Amino acid sequence: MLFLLFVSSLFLVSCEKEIDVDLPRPEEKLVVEGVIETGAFPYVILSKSTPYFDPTDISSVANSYVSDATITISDGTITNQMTKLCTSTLNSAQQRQLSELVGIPMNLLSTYDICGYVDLSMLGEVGKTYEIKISWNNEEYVGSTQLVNPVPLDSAWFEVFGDRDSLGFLYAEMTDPVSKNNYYRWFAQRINSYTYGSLIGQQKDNNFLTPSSSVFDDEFVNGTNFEFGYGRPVASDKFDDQAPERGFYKVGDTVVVKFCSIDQGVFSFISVAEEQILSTGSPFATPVNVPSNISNGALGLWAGYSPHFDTIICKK
Amino acid sequence: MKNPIILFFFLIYSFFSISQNVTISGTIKDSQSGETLIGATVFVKELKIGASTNVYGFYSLTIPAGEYTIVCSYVGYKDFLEQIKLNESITLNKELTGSDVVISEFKVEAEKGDENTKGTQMGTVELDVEQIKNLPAFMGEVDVLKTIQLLPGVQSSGEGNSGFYVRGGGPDQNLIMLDEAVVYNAAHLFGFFSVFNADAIKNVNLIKGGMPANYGGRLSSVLDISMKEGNDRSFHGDGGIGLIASRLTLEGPIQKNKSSFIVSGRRTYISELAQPFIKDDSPIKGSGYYFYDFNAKLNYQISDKDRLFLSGYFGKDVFTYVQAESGFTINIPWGNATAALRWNHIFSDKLFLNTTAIYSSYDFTFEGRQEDFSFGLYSGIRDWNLKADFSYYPNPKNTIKFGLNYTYHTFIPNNVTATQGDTEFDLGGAVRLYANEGAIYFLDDIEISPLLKLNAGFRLSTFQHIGPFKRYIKDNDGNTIEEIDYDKFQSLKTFVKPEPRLTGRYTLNETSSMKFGATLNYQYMHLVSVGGNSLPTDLWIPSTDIVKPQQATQLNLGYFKNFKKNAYEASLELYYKDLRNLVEFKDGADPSDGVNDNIDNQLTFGKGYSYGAEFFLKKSLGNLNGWIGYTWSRTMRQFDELNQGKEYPAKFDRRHDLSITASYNLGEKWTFGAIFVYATGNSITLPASKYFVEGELLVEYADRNSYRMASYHRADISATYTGKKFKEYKDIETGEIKKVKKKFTSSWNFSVFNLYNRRNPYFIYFDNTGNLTQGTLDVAAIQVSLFPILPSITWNFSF
Repeated sequence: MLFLLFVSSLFLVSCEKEIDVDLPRPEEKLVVEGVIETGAFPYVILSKSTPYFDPTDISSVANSYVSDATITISDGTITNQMTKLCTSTLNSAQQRQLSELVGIPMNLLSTYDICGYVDLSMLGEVGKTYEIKISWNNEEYVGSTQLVNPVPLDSAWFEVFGDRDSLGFLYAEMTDPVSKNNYYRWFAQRINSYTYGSLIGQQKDNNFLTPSSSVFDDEFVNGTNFEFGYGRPVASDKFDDQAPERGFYKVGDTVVVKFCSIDQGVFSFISVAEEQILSTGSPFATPVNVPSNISNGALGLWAGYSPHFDTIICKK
Repeated sequence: MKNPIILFFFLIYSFFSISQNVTISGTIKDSQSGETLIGATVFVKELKIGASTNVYGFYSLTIPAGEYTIVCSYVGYKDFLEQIKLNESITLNKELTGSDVVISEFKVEAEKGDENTKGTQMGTVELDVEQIKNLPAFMGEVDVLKTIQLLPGVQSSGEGNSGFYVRGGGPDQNLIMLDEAVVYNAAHLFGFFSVFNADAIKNVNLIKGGMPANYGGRLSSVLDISMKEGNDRSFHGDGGIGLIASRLTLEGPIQKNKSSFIVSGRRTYISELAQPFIKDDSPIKGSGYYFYDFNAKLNYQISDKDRLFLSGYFGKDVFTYVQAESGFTINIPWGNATAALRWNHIFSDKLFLNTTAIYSSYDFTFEGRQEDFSFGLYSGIRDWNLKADFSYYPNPKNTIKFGLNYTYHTFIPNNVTATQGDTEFDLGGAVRLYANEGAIYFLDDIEISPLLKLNAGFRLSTFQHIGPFKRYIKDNDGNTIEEIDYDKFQSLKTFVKPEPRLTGRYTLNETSSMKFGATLNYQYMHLVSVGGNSLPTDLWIPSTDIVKPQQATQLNLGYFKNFKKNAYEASLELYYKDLRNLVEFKDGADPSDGVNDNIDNQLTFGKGYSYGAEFFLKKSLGNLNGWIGYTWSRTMRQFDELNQGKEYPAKFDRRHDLSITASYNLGEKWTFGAIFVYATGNSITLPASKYFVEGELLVEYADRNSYRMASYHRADISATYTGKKFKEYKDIETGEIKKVKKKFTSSWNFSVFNLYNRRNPYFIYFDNTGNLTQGTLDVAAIQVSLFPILPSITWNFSF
């Protein structure tokens, strides 16, 4: 990306124009977004991929959701059929919570009837492998994920960055297990409220958010004790979350860190997806599809999260 | 002719069949500079046979004793004629006088050789640097690599890509040599300029098909570049001041007629020129880019039979990026260094030896720093190379070459370091791979009958990956299941490969011939590229127990015809090339570290093919010079693990490729040049579908390289005004007006790049506008073009 910046800045003469891209219409694929977490019930949302250059308006997004599938979930001993749950049955507070949890726009949830699949009788347990089978359009798609042993953070704290007076990052110290191939994902949520401005009294983050490179593995650090740090996920664009405070935590914030151990399939998906998000459009990036852990050509991810929680109060 | 035994039989025949012969041999030089002339011909009028000089200006011709007219000639030089009675072997060293010093009293009877139709070599183009200098050049910087990309069968991939592609081969399949030293990255600034400073170069020879057996180690082409040796008569200089770079070359005798030197340097100053326009409070103040080149060569004529050459090249690109606010700095230097020591020895008038010791390296470094965190990445390759090449001229019907070649390679695919304060992260340390490469070869350029001439050769090449090395054996999920340590010099894998080569010519009539060729080549080192474009970050890796040598079989057929006393040369060549064991990174490979892994574990292997037809028409005599080259071709790749195993077009697959060049001399003062190029657009991979996970837009790509960018076409023009070359004076005795060459001459070059301001695609990116939460997300494809119409001016001088 730097090269690109450089090439275009060196020759300030480069020019751009919008072009029409004429590609054959792609095949529609099933997209899976499913999560199971220790102590929580599993949910799955299904949608379809759409042609890249088609404009995305609210109705096309709504139409991309799939609600005519059958899903079974198995923990190795018990197999259940998941229950379809649609937004029309939720009140607006529940809809808002769902919107923030799965990233579906609120206006979409309130206007259209969007359905997901849950199994309220099953809670994620560490050590178990969960398999989902999706039947849709006479095809069967299978995915499996494991709730691996959680690895705790030894400690976690806030530190002011450089000569800033109140802005800083979160840091943590951990000890990676001796065994190889451990994978981690970092989530964080500010649970304190805005103390001024138009959002006064509102909790800063309603859900756990991930920074732009939220996963790492123990390739460089296997079996060692080490420190690492993260900035604030920039998903929020609320008034004082933008520049110059963008990416920073602030003295006075209370942050819950959800540090999850994940399996390799989840790691591969998230790390490639995050890379793709960062490099979309760069001519120097190799076009790579995100590797799904669902069979039969489906896209998306069936993710198992095995979390460890920590609460950090940000002070100088 | 693939069978070496048959070859041997031919040899025996040629050694003993001719008796009562004498040999005339020697060196042909330029009378003004003492530079040896490459490809000058020595012709025996009565016998209608001749020989041409090799890269060192040496020739040898064995003929029956008798009285002959010997003609020495070279394009642009006055012919030398001499009646000689040959009773015994003689040495005939000749100096020819170039046309630019020939004063109008005698006109140069320009006559061109007919090597085009008479030689066995096909797919070969020899370019004279002076000829290249008359064509328009990007920003006035004359560039031999840019010029060869105007030849049929040779493709550039547009601006901003460093490689060139020959007949469907990748950029790593070109053997690029500067005075016999391999140059691993021949590009500055992503290929906008090549590392070859035209002022220091004498001759450029490109072989794109039917590679003779004395060359090897690459599949697709040989680009053999010879540096000037330096004037051994008097001290001279050449230089130029352009918009973005300046050059200076100095040459002269150390001991007159015996030894000489040449040094040549070039540096860009575009970023210095840009600095005043960057405001002091700019967030990127201090960022910049420059490159420089330095060439030097010494040569020493020890005796009539021995000559020593020492030549070297050193060049670097340096890119610096500074973001003051966050204390973030990046420093990226990269470049090549080569050194070659050569010894020419003439054993006898029939046997010539050149022995060379070469060092060659390419390094790429990336250093990033923010606060007390620093990150470094280093990759490179280093070669020590020894070779001996013999040329044996038993009789005019045979030219035999044989030799051997050994290289010790050190590959550093990636060496990553990271430190925070005093803490150094374990990133696996420096990973180095070591290898031995060797070859022996033998070839005979043999005239079977007046109509049929063959160049039959055989090369036996070998490559050995040796320790120290740690091999990580992986399972399908990429987890290490075994580690094996190899000791220093322990062999991990050895390849021995036979490479038969055959080309031939069959004369149809006085002015036309058919040529054919069949060659098998192996390549033991591979350039793997992480991004879609070729960049200085591409990595060289050796063949190992996992990576097999790349293999190419090429078949050629051509029709060659000359018109109007060789003033026009035309050819039509057809080729088919089969490629095996090609190397790419697996999808999503991240070769950034050497921890618990080997880089070749991340590679995947496939095959490819290419076929095409190349048409070439060239005129190199008279005031109007130039050529038309057109190529129709198709190049495909197939990798089991890429694109779902389906065949796909190579990035540089190109159906049509047309180049037209012309230069015109208008009197003594003005020279005009023009170029037009047209090429089918590059193939790229574009997103086909989009989907959302966690509210983020993800893309699923269409088939690899299934989209074509718009075609590339462009016209450039140039005009060169040369000041007076001659001074007139009146001879006091005769009263005649005479001319002498001026000591200092200069010229102005005006050029316009992209005359009609074509917006050629450089890359396409996607702009997401709107917001998913508002349901207004829209994706637009934006095509970026680099250079609009760009005029430039350069002042060149010589003294």
